[in-house]
Amino acid sequence: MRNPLANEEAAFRFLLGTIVYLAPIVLASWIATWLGVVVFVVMSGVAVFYIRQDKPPQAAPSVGDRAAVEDTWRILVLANETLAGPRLQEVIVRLAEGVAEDVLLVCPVMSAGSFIENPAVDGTSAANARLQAAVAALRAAGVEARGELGDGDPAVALTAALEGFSADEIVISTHASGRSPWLEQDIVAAAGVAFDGPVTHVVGD
Amino acid sequence: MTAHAEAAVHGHDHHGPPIANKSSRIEAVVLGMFMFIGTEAMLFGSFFAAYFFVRVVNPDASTITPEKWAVWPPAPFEFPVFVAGINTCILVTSSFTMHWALQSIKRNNRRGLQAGLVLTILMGTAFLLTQFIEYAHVGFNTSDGAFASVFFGLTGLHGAHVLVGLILLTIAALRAFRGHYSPEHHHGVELPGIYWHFVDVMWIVVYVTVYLL
Repeated sequence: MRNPLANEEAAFRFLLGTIVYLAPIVLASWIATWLGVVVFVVMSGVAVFYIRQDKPPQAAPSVGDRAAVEDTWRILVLANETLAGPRLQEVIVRLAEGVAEDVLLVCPVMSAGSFIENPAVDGTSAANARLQAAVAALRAAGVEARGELGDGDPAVALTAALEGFSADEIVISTHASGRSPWLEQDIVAAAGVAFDGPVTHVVGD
Repeated sequence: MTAHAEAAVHGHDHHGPPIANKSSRIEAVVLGMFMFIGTEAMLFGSFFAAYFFVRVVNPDASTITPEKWAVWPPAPFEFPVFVAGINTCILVTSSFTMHWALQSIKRNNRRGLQAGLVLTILMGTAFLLTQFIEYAHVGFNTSDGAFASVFFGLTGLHGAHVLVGLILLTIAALRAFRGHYSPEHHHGVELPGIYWHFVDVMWIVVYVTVYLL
């Protein structure tokens, strides 16, 4: 579910959405009360559907298109606990097919105590271990990949990574909706706003 | 064993209360925002419940011409719909300038941030002043019936939120003029911005339900 107040941009969109939601209701109710009620019901249904919906992943350009754009296709991957998961690996390998790829994996370092199952886990060590495993797996699959640690806030980590890495495409891997704090933060939508290129969302579990 | 000695035995050099444990399932910031939305929804919800009760369920609560209950507000009173509409435009425009301010600092445009915040504060102040003038000329008071009470209650509650928002924005603006904030660190602007948009949303709902419908 989208959090309408996750950040300023989401709140601004929420404001615009409220105007779009209420304007037809007011106009319809001025015409006839029953029409206003009908439009209210319809608009409420549309609003509930929109709020409950996660942003659909954008279609990545075809391999041929991507290869034709530039010689090297730079893919920025943001993931935490799902970084070394098979689904993310599969997507990256598919995206790297037919192009000279440069894949940068970014793993945010969670602060100590962030892991509910084991608060004693050191965030830096855990992130490093995941990065090493993911880079090794991708290289074994023939993908040119490297990794770096990022800020604990995924939005900050993404912004910082984009400053030093001119990405052509972003891949964000999260847990499923309901289990992912990043989705609560609407990180995929935020990335879509901040980045002009394709943003692919992978549910890594 | 004293607390200090116990800490030494366990190899800790930490003073003060223990570090708060954070769940990995939900971020503290997100949880806090959901709790804030919940409390605000209940607060405004209670006022809206009173409003709809007076208007729909128990129109006779109005001491003025109860036989004309279908007319809102009860005759002979009228809400200044046009002035409130202008005020709504001012407040919605202030959300655009707020958004512009934040987009500016994200692009390292400090002038834009400062200008956006100042314009937002000016428009928020204009909104509040207009509302005070509206109160002075509206032609009824809380003693004129329940409809007047809920009108002043709802709009006054919202006005109080605008005042809080203006205080937050003023603090953000002062910090902006002192050189605070950067493209990477602008939480001090982002959070008042979220609050300001939320206040605008609540006003639109108040305006539509009380003045227009």
